[in-house]
Amino acid sequence: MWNTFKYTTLSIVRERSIVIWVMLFPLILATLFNAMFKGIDENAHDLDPIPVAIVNKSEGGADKAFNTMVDALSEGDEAILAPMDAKTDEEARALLRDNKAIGVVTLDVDGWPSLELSAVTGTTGVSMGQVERTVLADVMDDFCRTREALEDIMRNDPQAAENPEVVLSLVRRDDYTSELKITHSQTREYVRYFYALLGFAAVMAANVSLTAVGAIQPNVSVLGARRAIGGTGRSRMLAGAIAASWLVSFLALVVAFAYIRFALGVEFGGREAACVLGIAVAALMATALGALVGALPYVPYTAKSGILTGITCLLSLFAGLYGTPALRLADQVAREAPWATVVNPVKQVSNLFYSLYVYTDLTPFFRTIGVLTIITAVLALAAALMMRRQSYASL
Amino acid sequence: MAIVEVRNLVKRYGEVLALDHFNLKIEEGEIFGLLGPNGSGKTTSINCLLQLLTYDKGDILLFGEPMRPNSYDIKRRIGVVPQDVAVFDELSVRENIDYFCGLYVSDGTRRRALVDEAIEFVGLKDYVKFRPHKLSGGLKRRLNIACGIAHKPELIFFDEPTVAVDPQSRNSILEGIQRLNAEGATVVYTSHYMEEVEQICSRIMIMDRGESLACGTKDDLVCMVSTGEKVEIEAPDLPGGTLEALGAQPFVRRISHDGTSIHLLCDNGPHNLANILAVLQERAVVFGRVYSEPPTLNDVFLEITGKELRD
Repeated sequence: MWNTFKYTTLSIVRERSIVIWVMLFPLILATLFNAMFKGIDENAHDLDPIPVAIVNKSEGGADKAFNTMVDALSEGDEAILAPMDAKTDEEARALLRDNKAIGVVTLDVDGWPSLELSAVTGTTGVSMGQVERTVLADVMDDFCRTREALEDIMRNDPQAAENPEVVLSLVRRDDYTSELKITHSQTREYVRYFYALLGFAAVMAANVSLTAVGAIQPNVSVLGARRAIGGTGRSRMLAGAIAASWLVSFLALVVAFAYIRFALGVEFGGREAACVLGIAVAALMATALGALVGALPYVPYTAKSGILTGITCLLSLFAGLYGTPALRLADQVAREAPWATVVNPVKQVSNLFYSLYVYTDLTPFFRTIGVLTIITAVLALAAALMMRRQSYASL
Repeated sequence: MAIVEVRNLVKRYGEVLALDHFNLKIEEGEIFGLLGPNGSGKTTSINCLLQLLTYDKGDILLFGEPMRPNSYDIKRRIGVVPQDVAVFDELSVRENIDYFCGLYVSDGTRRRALVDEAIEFVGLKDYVKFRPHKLSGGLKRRLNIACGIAHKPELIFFDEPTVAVDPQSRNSILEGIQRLNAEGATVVYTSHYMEEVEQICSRIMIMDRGESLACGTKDDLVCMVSTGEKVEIEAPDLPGGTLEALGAQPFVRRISHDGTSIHLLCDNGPHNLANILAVLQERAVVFGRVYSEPPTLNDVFLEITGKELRD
């Protein structure tokens, strides 16, 4: 068995198609994904200062508090507002109409602001500035409530208004709001593509055992025929080939994972050790899948390879590998036909990493490990039954 | 002792009868030749012997024991050199030989010595680190042989090992087979090249359409046919009636003239050539060189099957 394990490993890692499709292709795809998706996601989280037109109609310095607030929010690297002075309402609305401003703030004679926001859908029909609108409305609402509360205190309890602690308590939020972490990490949509990619890479790795098992079967190659008449039993030879396939698949996936994690900086929730455990199980599933396809009787090797590629591409579609529409489709399938997700190994491998990334609790991860183990067992059993029954009436 | 014994082996590929109650007995120490055209059943019979193919009927005994698909103790005593070069393209010469030797010999130290010996035997010492695609056709064949014989088997099957091989490599392969036999191995050699079979085999079986047509030493086979002598005489110009006069001789079985030479197939007889030359002299035929030879295996095959061996 050791002899078969050693030389099967050597022959697989030197096989050009395996090197390209199992080892290099995931790295190339990951690099492309990094260029395509990561930038989009990061940009989506960068909030530029919100352009707002201000029409000041206040009198007698009633705008002092408002101006102080605007100055504070429009200074420095983390400025929230980009104020633009407008002399008239028409000028301000023109800025709004031309999408140069998200909102118009009009100060009345007493310095109270009123807010007018741009339409949700821009002239191109594309939804724009939703986050900015919310932020702007929140800022104005906060200003009005705080000013109202202060004026109320000054009216009813002037002494309290002179107490700095009372004033501070009005602007501090941590007394009655607290930040709750409902996910293990800060969620970023783009990571799902990389997890789906690892699922895809895992199923692509099934080509390793397909090749290794094919090289044992007498009806697939002359090499298989020669090995079949050797002095080593089929089961021992198969065990060596399967072990070698698992090792190569595992290493290829670890390399892909390490590249995605450390070279591309994709987050895995800081649980790299658990990821390696997940990869070990994923490689086992891939090995069983390749062995099953490799054991299909009466099918030429090239057809088996085509079948495996087809399976990989189809399953990857339902794991959301091919961009946003595929991701939506995958989510829809998960909602409406959960069983289809359960039996999809690409999706399950993808879920392994997603559960580590999103959930604080490790239960979803181990549940997915369990599902993958069952899938592996079913595939391996079917492959073993097929190979056990095979005898050859012709070669 | 019979190393190989096959009784009434029947093998069908669907409607095609590939082996028709095939019988075979090979004694220890022989180089036994299976001679027949492509598709005659040589490879099928070997594959059935080795349990690579299922068969419909018959008994196979190797080393006196019934052969089964899981008879690994018997398989470990056998070496096979298949018709096609069957090695790992991704492994070097040495790694390939070591792998195939490892299917029979698990002890690493012993295996290393056997691999070295096999490399030396086939003359691949200068190519041990080469991958098969870097080797010439002849060297690949040698590697194919080394992979089959490294574990020093007692019984070796060579299935057309010289197909598409240059004459130099062919001679080297044939000499190697004779050396293996001299060292004690029993050899089963299949070929459709009668010259090779004539050169190295102690006994020969002629096969066609899955049947054994004749079996014995070369002399035995030649005696089985009525053709006793082949005569060829260079004579470009023949006076009228010469061929008829020659054909009228009672010992002449067949006669033809190709424009430059007369070809005669004759029965066994002590004075055939003298009688033929006498007829030519009577008719004042000018002739050049004269050749006379006993029948070849091809003639035997032709007479038994009615067709050329390489048809």
